[in-house]
Amino acid sequence: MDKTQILISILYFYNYLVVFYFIGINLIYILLNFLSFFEIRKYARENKVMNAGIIFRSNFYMPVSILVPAYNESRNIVDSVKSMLQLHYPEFEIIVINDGSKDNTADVLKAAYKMTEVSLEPSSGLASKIVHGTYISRTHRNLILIDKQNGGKADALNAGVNYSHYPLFCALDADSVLDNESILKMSRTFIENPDLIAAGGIIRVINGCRIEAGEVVSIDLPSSSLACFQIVEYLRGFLFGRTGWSAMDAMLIISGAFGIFKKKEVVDVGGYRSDTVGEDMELVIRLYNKYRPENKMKIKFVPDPVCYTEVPESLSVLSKQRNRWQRGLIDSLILNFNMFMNPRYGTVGLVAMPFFVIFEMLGPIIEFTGYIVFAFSFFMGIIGYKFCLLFTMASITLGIILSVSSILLEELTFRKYTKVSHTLWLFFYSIIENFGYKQMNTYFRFRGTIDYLLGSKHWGEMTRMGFKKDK
Amino acid sequence: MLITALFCYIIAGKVLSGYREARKNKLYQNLEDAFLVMMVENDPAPIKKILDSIRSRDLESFIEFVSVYLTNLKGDDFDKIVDVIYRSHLFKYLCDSTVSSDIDLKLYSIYCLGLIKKPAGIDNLLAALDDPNIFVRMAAVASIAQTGCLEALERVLESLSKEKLVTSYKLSEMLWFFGEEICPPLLAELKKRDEKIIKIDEEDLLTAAVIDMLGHYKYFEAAEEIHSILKETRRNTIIKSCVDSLGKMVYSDAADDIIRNLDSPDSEVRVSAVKAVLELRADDQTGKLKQMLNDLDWNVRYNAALALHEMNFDFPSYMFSPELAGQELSRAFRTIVHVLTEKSAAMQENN
Amino acid sequence: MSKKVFVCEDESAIAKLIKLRLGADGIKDVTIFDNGEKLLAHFNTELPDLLLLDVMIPGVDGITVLKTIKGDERTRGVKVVMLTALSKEADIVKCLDMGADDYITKPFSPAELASRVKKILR
Repeated sequence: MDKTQILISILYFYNYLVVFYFIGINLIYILLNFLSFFEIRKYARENKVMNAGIIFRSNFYMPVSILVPAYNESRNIVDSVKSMLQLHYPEFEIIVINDGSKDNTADVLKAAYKMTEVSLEPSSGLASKIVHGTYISRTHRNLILIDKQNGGKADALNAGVNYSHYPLFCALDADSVLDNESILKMSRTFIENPDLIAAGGIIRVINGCRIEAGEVVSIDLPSSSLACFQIVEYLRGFLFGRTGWSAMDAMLIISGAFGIFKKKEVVDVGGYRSDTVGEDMELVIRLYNKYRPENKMKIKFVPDPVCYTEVPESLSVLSKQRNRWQRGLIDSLILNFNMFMNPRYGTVGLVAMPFFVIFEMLGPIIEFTGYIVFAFSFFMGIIGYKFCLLFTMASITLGIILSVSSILLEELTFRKYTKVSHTLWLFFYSIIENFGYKQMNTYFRFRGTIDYLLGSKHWGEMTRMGFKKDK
Repeated sequence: MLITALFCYIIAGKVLSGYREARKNKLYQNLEDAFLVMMVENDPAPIKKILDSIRSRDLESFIEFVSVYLTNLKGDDFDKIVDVIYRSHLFKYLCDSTVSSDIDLKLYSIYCLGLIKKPAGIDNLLAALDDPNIFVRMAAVASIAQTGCLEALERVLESLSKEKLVTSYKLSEMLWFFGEEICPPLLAELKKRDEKIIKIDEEDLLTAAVIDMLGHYKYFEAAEEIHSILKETRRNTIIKSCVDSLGKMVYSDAADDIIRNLDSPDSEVRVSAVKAVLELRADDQTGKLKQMLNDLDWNVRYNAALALHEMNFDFPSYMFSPELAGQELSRAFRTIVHVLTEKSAAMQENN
Repeated sequence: MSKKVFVCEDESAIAKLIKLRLGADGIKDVTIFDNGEKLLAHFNTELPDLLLLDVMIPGVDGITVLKTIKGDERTRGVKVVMLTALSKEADIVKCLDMGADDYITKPFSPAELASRVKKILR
């Protein structure tokens, strides 16, 4: 056998691999799609509350501590806190953690809310960097500031958990805008499911929306098409990705921008890890790792409580963000690799872990090289144009159907985008994201995977990037 | 093909939902206008006509209307509107919906029956106390309380005592709807429970809430009973409620037992004890309160400082006394500064 | 002379109800504001005889608005009636201390509100 023949058979084999990969991932996506369709319909049927406040005015709740890690946020922090103070909730505290900002974040906050230094005692002992001081506002008794040495987002959150008083805590980004009733809706889920130890809500894109006094008053589409692509992507990721996984009791990701946890369980597993860039995902997987075998736990995605967040409108920032997400994902999976194919972890070990390892962790590599090998084989004449055309058509059609169905889910349930023109635009973007945007993302994640493999040598430098706001 | 179908489906859904939304808003608008006509011109005919035309799919607008107006009104206008609703088919519909399979419809009906405050719906509300969903049960408790039907109280307390409660705060708020007349039956209930208290070692939030309510209304007749519970119980939530209530009633017979709890291992109990000591004006406790300025818990320190301030304690000379000399960063010093700045800021704002 | 009344209340249904009720009782000149900022901005151009002020309004809260009005020489003469869901005694005393002329707690009776307003305007 000469060399060309070997090469050709390798290429042949690789093409088959890509085709199988493709069939596998799409089958799973379609399955997820169906699962979430029923799950969301069920949720919407049981919770079509137009005014959650009505239900809760004389009802149950669990007090919540809202943790807001802030690093160089002096420009926004006062407004963010103002918006959080307006939450409709009977009993909550806001704990801002100034993570050794280089600007005057702490001073701005102290001046705006008349804060005095009080020496609070931590109620739990998660590891975190030195705390310089704790402050309480004289105007809002439920606002606390913790001033500490810089240690990254995970470290800041741990400090926040230590000083929180309530059985639930909510981890937020300093720039997220919570819907006024989000915490109420989340809390309802916690009370109806006593086994729940963590829950994530939906993240929606704030770009283009109008904000008044820290509240989103009208929802519109942004002018940047990059942001519009991300709207479709977020809808897809949350409405059918996470809902589907949640229906299988195997949701591995709660976004760091908005998630609620039971304090006790988080403290028992040791809180956030500050040596990874994916501290949010890692914590959730570690919770499964510890509690899933005991089987008395649930982690859920609740599709209704909304948190708005700004998405990058520039390619370079987007690429950095995706790169970081990919590294965080790989790291979280590797740190908890004992669960891989382990039947003790049920659907998490047998379905979610393998899926994430094969399709999310290695996926970008297979896809990216797949494109190259495919093109190469086509020009070498190894595969015929008919097959090639068919395969491209099939992949694009499936992609479009998946994208469009997430818009359908949104339209069937929450309808945040009210105008017909909104739907038309979203529909348009959900079709054309299959011609370029998705491929571009694959490339960013491919780069992330490569960076992870190379970067694991100098780990220290990368951790510090974890907390940098990609703005 | 499939995509085109999906597309048409989405757009059609959109248009339809827009139409429904418009219909809903229009109905709400009509209800509002008709109500205003009734109020100003004393003519109930238009609103009667609209209420009669409401079908189940329009219920959302009706509920919204009820929740806005009935929660904000009282007096003649309230009676008038409730009367019209009561005499329409909607009242029966609401009663029937308390056993609907749709949880939200159930919740809303229960909520509305509470707002309407007619005792006629009480049987349906009592039945809802056995619902499998906790929110439905709690909504029923609140609505029963709003009807002010004291005969149902025993049944409500019985059903509440079966719940695994999370916090007593809202519980008292629910009982509060019954009004001040709730005190005598609550006291009777308390006497019945008295026996159980030392035997069970679990925290009992319902008893705590009952004691809180009696304290809230300063129902002095209950003071002796609460005092005897305070002496016997070992449960912190109940101790806290007893101390709170006895403080509010300024029941000086219990002073010793309240003061004893200044040393409780539970910080919330210490806070309550400090507050009660202030209510009782137990001036002989200033030495103890001064010590508590160094308490590990911030809330205790803060309340001790507040109490001392109210008792006209001379903070400035204490701050420069040998006891605190050179301790500017100590807990006590910081707490004093905190309270003093807060007080002076409040004074400035008022002038 | 007809009297001018401003109503600062974020729940539009309640504001409308008050306006109609007052209108039926002969006070036709009623303007509605849905938040404190807008109200205070309008105070620069026009002053009412009486202001009905809700304590719980978005943006600047009612207590602060009251403080601002009663703290300014020019606006001090405006009568203020607080409309509040707070039924705690301490809060009511606080409002009256700061110069409010009367207070009405929610839930309220529109007829009673109108008669109190008329009494103060007389």
